[in-house]
Amino acid sequence: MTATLATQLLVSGLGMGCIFALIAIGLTLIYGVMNIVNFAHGEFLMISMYGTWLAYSFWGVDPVVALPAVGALMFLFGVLVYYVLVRQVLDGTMHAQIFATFGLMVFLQAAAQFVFGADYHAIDKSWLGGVLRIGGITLPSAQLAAGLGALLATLALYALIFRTHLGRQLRAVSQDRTAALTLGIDADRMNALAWGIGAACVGVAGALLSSFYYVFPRVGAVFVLISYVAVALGGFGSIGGALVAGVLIGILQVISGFFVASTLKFLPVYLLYLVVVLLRPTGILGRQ
Amino acid sequence: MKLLEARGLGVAYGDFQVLWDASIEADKGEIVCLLGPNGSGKSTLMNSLSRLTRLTAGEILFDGHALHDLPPHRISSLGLSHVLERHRLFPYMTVLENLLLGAGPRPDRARLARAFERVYSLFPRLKEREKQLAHSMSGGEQQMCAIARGLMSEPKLLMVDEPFIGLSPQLRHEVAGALRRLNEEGVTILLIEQNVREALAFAHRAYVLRAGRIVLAAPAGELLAGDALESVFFGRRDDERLH
Repeated sequence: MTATLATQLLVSGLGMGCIFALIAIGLTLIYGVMNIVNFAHGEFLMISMYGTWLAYSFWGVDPVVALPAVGALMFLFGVLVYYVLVRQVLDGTMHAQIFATFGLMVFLQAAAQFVFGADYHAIDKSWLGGVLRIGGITLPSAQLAAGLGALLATLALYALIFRTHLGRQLRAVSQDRTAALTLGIDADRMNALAWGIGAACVGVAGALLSSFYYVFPRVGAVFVLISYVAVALGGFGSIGGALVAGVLIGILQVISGFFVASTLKFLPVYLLYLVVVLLRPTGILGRQ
Repeated sequence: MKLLEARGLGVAYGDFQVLWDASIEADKGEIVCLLGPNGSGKSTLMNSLSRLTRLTAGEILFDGHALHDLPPHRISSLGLSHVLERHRLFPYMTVLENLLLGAGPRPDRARLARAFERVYSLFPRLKEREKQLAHSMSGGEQQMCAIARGLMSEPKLLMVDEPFIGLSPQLRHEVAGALRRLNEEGVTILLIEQNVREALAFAHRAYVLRAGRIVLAAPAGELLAGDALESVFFGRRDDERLH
């Protein structure tokens, strides 16, 4: 194996890994703050990919330009979903909570199929199209940019959660909701914020992905299943864990896709998941 | 002057009523204690004052504000701080972060500096532990940190649910000393404590609860001298006698 090939695989794996990580952090943030799994997370991704594609094909807006708007709109969408749907089942049973977001998933998928049909769409002439050659290394620039964008978004999110007072309040609600209330933290607003940020994460990831990946109604499942694995692997509710696991999965699937077969690229990922969950059920960075 | 005045409080969990017609008051500068056997409703009463528990009846007036209509997160900024049972620190945050969160959603610098100075002079060892994760400290240190966190909002009334539970005599003494000092600085204190003698030596006045009702309210000295307490803790009500 040459150094060129190794670099190519590593960069490509890191890029995908950062995208998985961004999606997984959105998921784990919502779970960590309010103990609800957002089963419609993949469909949030799908919506933002369609949004980016629509902006491109109707108004000629490049995904790079659309990205901030898609992120912001998805933030609002997440907040809306919280107030309209999730908040109604907060005091309900676990079944009610599961079916609420599961139902939303089915609804959004069906709605996308109804409006856009089941066809695959692609953005073929993004600014980020083509390849980048550095020395003897050839890299698809869209994937490279997406990885870099996801990394930047992840770092920004990390700073927000671990370096600001707002982030501290979010973590407080996730660690002890009642104590947070006694200290004047509006837990309900923090819930809404977690949904907003969680949805904005997939908004950014979706805009980045759509410059090199097909858009279709069930596209969310492709990425979000891996993100569930990243969340469980990293430890439920652990943001650092989701980051580490996401990147690890990205590298693992690229390597096994290359050396084994691309149809089997996720097999080692699930094997790793099984091993970790058997040996350490709380995940890599999880807490008891 | 009355700082806290709660009248006719009722709390029910579903169909199960756990607090009936509870009325309590606290004057400015007082130390008031809630006494009673396990499950008599002391914590429920305290939780209802800080609005963590939903009321089925009654009203709460605190320093000119009607608390009974407010959600729990609006209470601390009015000057009522509630330190929950078993400290309830944010375990995966440092002492410093826990204290910062105690200062409310948007603390200003001057106030923050003043609050830190006060809690560090009260509990000097918290300053040494500033960077330590809360869950890695000893039980006594965590309890001190919880009281300190409750003080960061500079409350007029500090409610502490069983501050001495599980502490060594030495630490108990330290925490009690700190509370007394706070009281001398003008902070009104409402306290829950299991150890009756200790509580009464400490408080000015006490309410005694039994099975969800306040059955006795008297100055601490009177309760210490008389035998009214024994009948509450050990006696049986008429309807509980064999028949």
